Amino acid sequence: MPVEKMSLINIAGPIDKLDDVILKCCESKAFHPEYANVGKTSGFSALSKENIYESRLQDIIGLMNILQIDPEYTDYSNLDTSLESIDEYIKKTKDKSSELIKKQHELENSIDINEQSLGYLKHISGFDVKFDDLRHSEHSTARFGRLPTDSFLKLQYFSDKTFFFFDLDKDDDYCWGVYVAPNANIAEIDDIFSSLYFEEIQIPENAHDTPVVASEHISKSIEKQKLKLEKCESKLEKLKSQDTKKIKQIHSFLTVKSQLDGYKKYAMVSQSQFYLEGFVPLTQSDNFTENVEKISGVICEKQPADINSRLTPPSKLKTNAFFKPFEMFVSMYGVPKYNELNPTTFIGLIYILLFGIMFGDLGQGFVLFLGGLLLYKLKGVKLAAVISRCGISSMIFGIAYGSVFGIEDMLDPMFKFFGFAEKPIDVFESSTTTTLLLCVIGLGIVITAVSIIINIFLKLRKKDYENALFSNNGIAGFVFYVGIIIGAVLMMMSGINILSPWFIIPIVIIPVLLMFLREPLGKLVKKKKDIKPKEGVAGFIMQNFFELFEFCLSFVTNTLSFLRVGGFVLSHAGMMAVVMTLADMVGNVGHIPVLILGNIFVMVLEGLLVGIQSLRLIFYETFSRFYDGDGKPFEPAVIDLNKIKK
Amino acid sequence: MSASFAENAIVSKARGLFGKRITSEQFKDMAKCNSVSEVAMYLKSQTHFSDALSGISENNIHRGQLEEILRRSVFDSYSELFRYITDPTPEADTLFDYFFIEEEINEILKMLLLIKAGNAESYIMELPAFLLSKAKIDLMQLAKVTTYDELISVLGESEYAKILKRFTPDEEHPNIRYVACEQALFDYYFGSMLKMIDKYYAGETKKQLSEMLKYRIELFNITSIYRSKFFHNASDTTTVKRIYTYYFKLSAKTFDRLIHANDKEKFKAILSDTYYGKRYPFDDVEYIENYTQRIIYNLSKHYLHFTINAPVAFYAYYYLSQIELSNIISIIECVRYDLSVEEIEKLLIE
Repeated sequence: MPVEKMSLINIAGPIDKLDDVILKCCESKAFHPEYANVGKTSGFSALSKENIYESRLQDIIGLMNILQIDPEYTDYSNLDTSLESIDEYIKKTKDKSSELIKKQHELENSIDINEQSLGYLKHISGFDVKFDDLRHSEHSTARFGRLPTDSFLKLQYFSDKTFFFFDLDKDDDYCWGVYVAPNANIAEIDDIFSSLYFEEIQIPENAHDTPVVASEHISKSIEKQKLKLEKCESKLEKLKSQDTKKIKQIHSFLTVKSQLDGYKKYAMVSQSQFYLEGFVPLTQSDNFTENVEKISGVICEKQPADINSRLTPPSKLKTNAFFKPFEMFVSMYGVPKYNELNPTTFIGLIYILLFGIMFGDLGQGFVLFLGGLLLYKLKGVKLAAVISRCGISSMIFGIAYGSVFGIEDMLDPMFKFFGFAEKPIDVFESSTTTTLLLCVIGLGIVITAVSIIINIFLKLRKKDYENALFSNNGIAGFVFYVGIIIGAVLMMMSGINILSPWFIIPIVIIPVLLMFLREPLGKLVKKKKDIKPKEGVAGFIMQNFFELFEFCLSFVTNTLSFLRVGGFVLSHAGMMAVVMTLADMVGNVGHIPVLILGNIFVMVLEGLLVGIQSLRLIFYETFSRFYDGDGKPFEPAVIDLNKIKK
Repeated sequence: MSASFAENAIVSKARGLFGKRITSEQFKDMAKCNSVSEVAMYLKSQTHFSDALSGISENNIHRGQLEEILRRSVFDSYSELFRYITDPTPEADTLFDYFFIEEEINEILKMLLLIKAGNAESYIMELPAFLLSKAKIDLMQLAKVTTYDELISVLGESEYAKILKRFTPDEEHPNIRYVACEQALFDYYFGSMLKMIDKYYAGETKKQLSEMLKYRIELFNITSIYRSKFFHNASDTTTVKRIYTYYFKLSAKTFDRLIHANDKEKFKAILSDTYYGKRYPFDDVEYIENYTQRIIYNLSKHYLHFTINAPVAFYAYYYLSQIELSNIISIIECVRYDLSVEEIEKLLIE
């Protein structure tokens, strides 16, 4: 189960060809760049040039926001891509659109103010005097506004003061009106009304006649402004529709260029030359070098991946087509180191098996298979590929459980045809429950044991004898774990008494001692002279005692963790039983809809839970035994068109 | 049967109204506001006062206007609640009427203070307009008085006038005896309310209503003693005259000991040994009102939570809503004077 073999590629050439080389690398989608290092005395240095496209990209994004244009990749092959023309176009378009936007806002504000004035004038429409007459009055002053209703009640207190208050309109909270006072007393009256929380309303300058007439004028003014606003908005719309394509082209161009420019940080340059290095899968390396060397002046050299000790080759998982979708789970945990085991197939197998056991239903499994397949083919959703494979497993186990969309007796004729008196596995039978739980424990034991074996194999290959021989995931742990299981089974099934020295010493005591002393023993095997523990004997004993306790406990907990598989089998069947009961309760009319809705609900809920639990069992109970996942993922240089869609 | 359904509905309603109260977190948020406008904005958008404040312009609102709107809103909630309570006092003032009696007394005392300060004409600004149509005394005429005699004249044949006549300034006492007037008016208020409860209510309702009032009186006494002795430096003899002689959880002897306490620490020690001190530790000697009001708050919450009697639920809700209002007004005042959030929080009763 390998990781793809890599070649180390060194590329050198004239500095003016660097952009073309990077573009070729991105187009190939096979070049994983590394930071180049050619030595301090070579005259090369890291390229620390500012990304000249980034600021322009921000400008075009700003313009797209103003015009509310959604980003979308658009072919720009016919675009004038000189930076000068792009700058000029962005500036011109931005100025034009900003002017229109500014005018739009001004009109909107003006309309708001006029509408507010209209609102005020409506409250004082009962006042039949021209505003101009009041403004030009020589001996008195008028103030329009509103008074809180509570304060209006208090006006009678000031009945001896020289003013008139005309209440023109009332609502629950306020009384709208005007007070008039002689100019000589206006200051005092203003104070009184101010203390009564009177809010003055400024009559618009363009209101000359009576409130009713003024309202009409302002309404007409609002209509005219709305027409102007419409014209302004349609000009903006026209600008948008005429220039959308070009703007999108420029955006696409700048996004691509900006990303390409971003890769320049990996190169080293001198005055006239550049140097770039990275990894390419071995199978694609010949094709890659041939393509890159088509650029004049550029040399591309292929070398073995491990030739440079400074560089760690990245890991690209290589898995067969059926289990390939499960690579995403491995990547989630962490990719293996280069030259290490690719656990994808093993994980895929366990995942499908566990999922199928917990979600065994022929009908629901078929829906998952079909739905997953369609979603993957049409939308390219990677998880859907996983779901479709799990669907197959669910169908197989569904046949074994005799369950089709929760109907437990639909497959009975088939079983009878094959000579069975009844279906072989009836989840609802009480005797089945015990068998089921024992079987899932057994499955857990097998998975754990296989994981330990894989670990032993991997660690021996790496010559890590401490882990391979003496750890809880090594031979000592394997003997201890499997030995105790076998002993327990023998005791329970055959009545053989395993509690004898012949069993306890080699199966329990020796492995425990080996695990306890794994560190010094590991050093001994490697022929190291200093095997004394750094923390002192007492510290060593204390630490390893608790670690030993933890090892033993983890064997128990990891094994028992698989009981959840049995639990989910029962819960799935239980939930479908509830759906069937509800379907029966609603009678003939609602039977089918309830059945359909119930199945959908269970598929979604149980599917999610089972998927998560299967992954959990893999990550915690399986991976933890043999897998580190601290490799460097293979990340080829690409132009991410998804960034344009955001 | 229908009465008990109505009772249950009112109790639930009171609890529902209390459930919408401003929370401790919201008070803290308000304390962080920088102006009265911001407090108004917060109350309008985040609290149960949003309907009452829906018509205001937060940017222009004056403190006095805001407080008046809030008080009116609280008053409206009382009338909404009390509307469905069966009136057991056909010949006497109802529990709701005592709300107005207390408000009338407060307005009279407010006017007395202003007359004493020579600033009677400013009363009209503070007059709560929503009381104008509800109060039995003519508040608008009250607003026009400028002397003690005019005040008594406006009060007519009311009990207030009879009480205040006893304290008319004369040669022996040329100044207005504000404290004595306050003492006498509230003595009348507490006495008549206790009599009303005793005469017209029965059973658990009567017991709980009396308890709530007596708690209030007793805690008022504790506050009076503390303020009189340690704030006004009054003598023991003067302090004795300020307490109302209704004893409930504390005996006359205990009150006597409190009155004769030489210093704050002694006072604290005596109080800590009482019914109140044992249940509510008296830590902060600076804000006695905060302490006593907090006890009332907790007791009222207890009554509201456990009672099945509508009048008790109403009365408990009344106390709780008054405390909430008092908190808001404290915050408004503190925000105006730029007090820090920590100082404001010390004044809140919760």
